[in-house]
Amino acid sequence: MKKLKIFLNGLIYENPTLVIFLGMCPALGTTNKVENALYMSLCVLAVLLLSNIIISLIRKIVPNEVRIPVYIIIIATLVSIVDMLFHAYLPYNVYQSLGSFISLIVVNCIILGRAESFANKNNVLDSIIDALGFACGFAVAIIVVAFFRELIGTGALSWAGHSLQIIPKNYAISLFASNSGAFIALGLVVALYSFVMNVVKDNKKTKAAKTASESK
Amino acid sequence: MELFGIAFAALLGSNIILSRFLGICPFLGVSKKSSSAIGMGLALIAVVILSSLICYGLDKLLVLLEMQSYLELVVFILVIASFVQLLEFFLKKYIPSLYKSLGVYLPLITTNCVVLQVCLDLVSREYNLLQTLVYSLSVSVGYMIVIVIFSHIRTRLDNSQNMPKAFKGNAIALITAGLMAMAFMAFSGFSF
Amino acid sequence: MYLSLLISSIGKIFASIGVVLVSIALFIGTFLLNKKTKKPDGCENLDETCAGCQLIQCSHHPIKKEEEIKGEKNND
Repeated sequence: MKKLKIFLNGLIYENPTLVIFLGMCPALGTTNKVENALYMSLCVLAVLLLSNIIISLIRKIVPNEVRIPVYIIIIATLVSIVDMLFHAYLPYNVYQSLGSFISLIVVNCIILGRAESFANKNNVLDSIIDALGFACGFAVAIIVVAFFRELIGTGALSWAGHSLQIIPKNYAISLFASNSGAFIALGLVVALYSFVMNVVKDNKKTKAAKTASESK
Repeated sequence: MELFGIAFAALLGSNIILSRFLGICPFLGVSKKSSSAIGMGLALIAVVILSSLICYGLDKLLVLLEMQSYLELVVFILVIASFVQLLEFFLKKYIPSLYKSLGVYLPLITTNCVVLQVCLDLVSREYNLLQTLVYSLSVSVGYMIVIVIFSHIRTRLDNSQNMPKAFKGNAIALITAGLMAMAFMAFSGFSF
Repeated sequence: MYLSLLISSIGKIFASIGVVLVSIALFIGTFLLNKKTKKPDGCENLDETCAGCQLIQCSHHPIKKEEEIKGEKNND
């Protein structure tokens, strides 16, 4: 199904954080707790969905020469609105730790990249599915990294002030809760993902070679 | 002494890449050769200093109109982007030799987190003009130091023979950046 | 500070809308100005020095050249 292929493209084959490395700044800065990662991916989902819809709606009206400035204007307005909404309705400590990363979604390469390569060539429904796919890919990537960092770095999982200590604090590797741990954790997750993808690709190749040699 | 504190913190203590995780996309993309890293760093220094001065004035205007919190993001990004376009036009027409070496990186800097973050920082910390200059200069020089060091390390990583296939490319680069971040953590905790 | 008391609140709203419109016009103006000036001679092959990134919105991205060639073919 074509729609499923568009969705899986953003989730697996061109995952923005793990394959094409766009939008890395929030992927490193907000992964210290699972709560922060979840709210950040919610924010990116909101902005990406709305910007894809709007840009797909106006794609025939915008003259081809000035499309990039128009996209930047639309995305900047959307991010301002979403930032003010989140400032009003998010819990205070979460907004403090997300901090300036919400404002920096306006220069996030995922949003502008998707607008430029997909939303200005396809209709609204495909753009919605594509936005959902990419936002889910981003969300899965940073939630996995945040889970890994929080569990091994502090030994506890926390949500809204309550925390559940799974590994005793003396055995937690606090490297992963610090700054350099963000880079190392993301590097390890990227390596794991490309390892899994390589194994799947090799299996497919050997299967295809087998069926080709059997049919001969 | 306070200016030195601002400069030291922006340069080394809370380095914009290694401690605050901003400007990572060009950090992984442009740092494959050291010549492109130096070009990127120099272009960034020019753009950050000049656009921080422009945004300083623009912020005063927005405070006068009492629309600072609503319009800040939109007006800043539009003015920064138009300034980068103007700079590229100016270089193309009048200084082609400079355009040859630095001009390729200018469109990359438009969507760079560093420029926008410096402008938002000088608004939220309420710096005066001299502090703005010192802060933007030290942030961009700090960025350039890290990206140039990283590009030299990266050329050795790319040429190594025994790298496992899953780690090739950006995965080992990220882990190396983590080790660099650990080294730079030694500079935190100073107060001037 | 006293200047802001002098300007009425309706004037401030109009002035802010004016600032936004001016910055939009400035951006589109400088963007078109930049797009129309050609690169100086000897700068045609600069794209290879920038080590190939995934940012499709960058104006030096090689996919723009393919689109230009396609556009010229369609015009012919």
